[in-house]
Amino acid sequence: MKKKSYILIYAAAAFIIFLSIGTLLIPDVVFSPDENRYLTEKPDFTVKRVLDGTFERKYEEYLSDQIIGRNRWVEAKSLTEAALGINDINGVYLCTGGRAVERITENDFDWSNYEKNLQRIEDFTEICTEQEINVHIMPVPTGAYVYREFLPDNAIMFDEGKAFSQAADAFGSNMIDIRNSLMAGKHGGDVFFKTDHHWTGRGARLAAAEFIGTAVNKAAAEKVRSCDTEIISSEFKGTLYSKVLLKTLGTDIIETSAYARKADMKVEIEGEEYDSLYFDENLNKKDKYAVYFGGNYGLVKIRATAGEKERKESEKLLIVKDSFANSMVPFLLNDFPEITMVDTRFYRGDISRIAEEYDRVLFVYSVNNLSEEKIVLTGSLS
Amino acid sequence: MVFSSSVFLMTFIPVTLLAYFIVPERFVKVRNVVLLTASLIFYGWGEPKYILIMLFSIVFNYVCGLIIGKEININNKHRAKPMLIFCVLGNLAILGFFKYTDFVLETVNQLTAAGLTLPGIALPIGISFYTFQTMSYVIDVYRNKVKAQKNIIIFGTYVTLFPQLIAGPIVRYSDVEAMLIDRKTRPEQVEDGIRRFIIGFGKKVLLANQIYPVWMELSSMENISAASAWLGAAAFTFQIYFDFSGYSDMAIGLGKIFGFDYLENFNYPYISRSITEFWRRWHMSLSSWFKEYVYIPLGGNKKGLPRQLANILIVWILTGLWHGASWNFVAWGIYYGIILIAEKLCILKVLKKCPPGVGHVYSIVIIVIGWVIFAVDDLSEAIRYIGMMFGSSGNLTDTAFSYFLESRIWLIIACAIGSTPLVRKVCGIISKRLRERYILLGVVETVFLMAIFVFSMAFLVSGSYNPFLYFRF
Repeated sequence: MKKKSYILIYAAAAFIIFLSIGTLLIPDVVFSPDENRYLTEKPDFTVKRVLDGTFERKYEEYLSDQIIGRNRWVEAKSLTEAALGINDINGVYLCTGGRAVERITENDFDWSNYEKNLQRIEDFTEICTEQEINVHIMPVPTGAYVYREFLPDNAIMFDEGKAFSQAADAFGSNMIDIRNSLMAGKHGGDVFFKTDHHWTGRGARLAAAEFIGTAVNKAAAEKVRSCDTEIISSEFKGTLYSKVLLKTLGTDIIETSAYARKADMKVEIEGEEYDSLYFDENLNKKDKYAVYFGGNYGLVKIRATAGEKERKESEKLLIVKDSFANSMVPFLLNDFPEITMVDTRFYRGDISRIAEEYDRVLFVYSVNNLSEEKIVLTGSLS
Repeated sequence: MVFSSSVFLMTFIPVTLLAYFIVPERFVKVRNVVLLTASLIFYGWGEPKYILIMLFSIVFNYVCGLIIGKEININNKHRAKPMLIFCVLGNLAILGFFKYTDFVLETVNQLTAAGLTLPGIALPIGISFYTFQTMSYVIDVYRNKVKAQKNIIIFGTYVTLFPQLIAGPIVRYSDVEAMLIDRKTRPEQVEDGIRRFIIGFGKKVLLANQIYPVWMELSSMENISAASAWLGAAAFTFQIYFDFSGYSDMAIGLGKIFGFDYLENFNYPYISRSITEFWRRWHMSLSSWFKEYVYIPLGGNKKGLPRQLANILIVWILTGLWHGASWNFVAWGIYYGIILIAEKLCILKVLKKCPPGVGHVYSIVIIVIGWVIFAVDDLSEAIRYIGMMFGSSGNLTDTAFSYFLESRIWLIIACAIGSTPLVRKVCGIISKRLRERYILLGVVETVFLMAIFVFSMAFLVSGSYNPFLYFRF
């Protein structure tokens, strides 16, 4: 008879018991900040729910959501993959220099929707031009495009150059192409966060300067480019970190306009009035990018009130946007004390109506959102 | 329920094992009740209504088995035969109704423009497997190979036994009859079972699930180079093997923990030197089922060559259809039928004269192309993909190929090694060397296997980790 130790039986049993009893004992977590979602809690057991299968589904979700050491497991997986040379994890490319960028391939990029959105904006531009309203369109490149030499070798991405030339064809001189400015600017500091898909304060400032250069003049643009900034957080871990939970990515700095930090202003968000565009309580939370306006809302009106009386009549600016504009607006306030932001993902009214009251309209959209969202500008959705 | 789920590993298995082993060994009947109850819960988890179909299937085959057995006992074969036919047709009717109704109606619609509405019948999980099990039982009773089972609990336990219930192997009643009636718990068998389960779990989670995205991404691209097309097809080839054989390993392992020894279902199919050999190594319980219950009853090779070739083709059309109600599976079956006929007629003779390498290359090329037909459910798309494998895009290689080859190199190497008996051989040598120092051997093995277990768990849990895509906002 072969002698055996049966250690494996004990080890496997201990592991299973650790998982099942451990998960049972630890208190349920309600909210996962890294995933920005509520986790499933213990489902109610009723015969009806068992028979229609909801209990079983919820119970499986509950176990996976509440399993003991959940984030450790995810981290272990990411570490293993990274160690094996797999650089695309959960839709994120791990780049050199501890940088993560969103992975968007041809399969992900919806060209036909992108072209439809370009058409919608073009139609909108025509209406505005008839009413002598200036329109500018600023497509925001992806971090992967700006930092493409940091991507893993042979990384597959959608053809972003083509997306930009399509936009240039559609909008002509109305387009503000910020690619060169960002790519040149990245050598003096991060223009995109290492752990988030958004641009940094520096990236937003360079983009703002490009716009001011077109809409106001070169001198004003230069002032924006060299304006004073203030660091409001140096421990930001963004959405891309959340997708991989890799500590090697480090932390990011959130930097914004020193002027906007101090200036007196009135900010009206969905009818509520505030005296700052910064919601500093978010700096203590996971999603620190929400320090700007507390997140995204359909309609936001900003008015810098300092020196309002002495100021000569200035242009009113309407920004039609996604979240990228949130961190850019602080750098525009000096030249445009009155700005209204409309987020097409939340606003359900006719934006061409609003535009009638403004001198200038600026579109700020990441190229990626132009392929994903349906940007409705005229008429209401509902 | 599936094995690679949290509820299975963290609730079902601990509770079932506890309930099972709390019952003393001598009360096998009570243990069977525990297994039957657990298996029904396992089966009905998420879709409790299917338990009714299962219960019907058990009672139907149990009664048919009793009647057929009674007639056979008094040597009344001609009276047993109509009952057998009735029973087999009944089983096929259940399977046909749930699996093929939509397919048949859709085909009729395409041919005649009749515009019939599809009822959209959902396929109860595992029905293809357990229907084949129950049919083998009644046929074996009719053939007097086994005695009809009088105890419905034992019979029900056989049909529903959760380890092999939803993805095989197709266990024949004759193979487990003795264990159903009496079985002992032997620690070395339990340990063996855990080992098999962990290996299967690792194959499924660490290899199959990880290589799958390579196929998914490459096959959904518009136009890919020949190298990419082969890489994608190879990824699917690995995925289906590690997924399916991993599941069989888990089933065999779980069976052992409860005291059942199942027959092997896979025997390193990708090292075959011919397609004939491949089908002796791939999903063996299915091939042998078709051989035993279709091919031989049709006359096998006993009625002349033309009849034999026809039999092969019939078996392979049915094998294809068994895999799914779709024309690409039929095409896949015919593809293998034709190749097997060609091998029988001449290829095998040619291969015998060639060095073994030729047979390996020939087989793997046929197998990989076969999986493309299997994986792409639109036949013209499959042909387009195979075209790309042979350079229809005009490019030999592209960046997608370089990227996936480079970033997945260790995964690909692991898959390639895992498809051969190499690891088993190395483990065999190590355990021989350490035979005297069995505690050290136990520790080494446990560390290795538990590492696989823990990493698999990490990959499984991460599958549920879904950051809400709020960053679009």
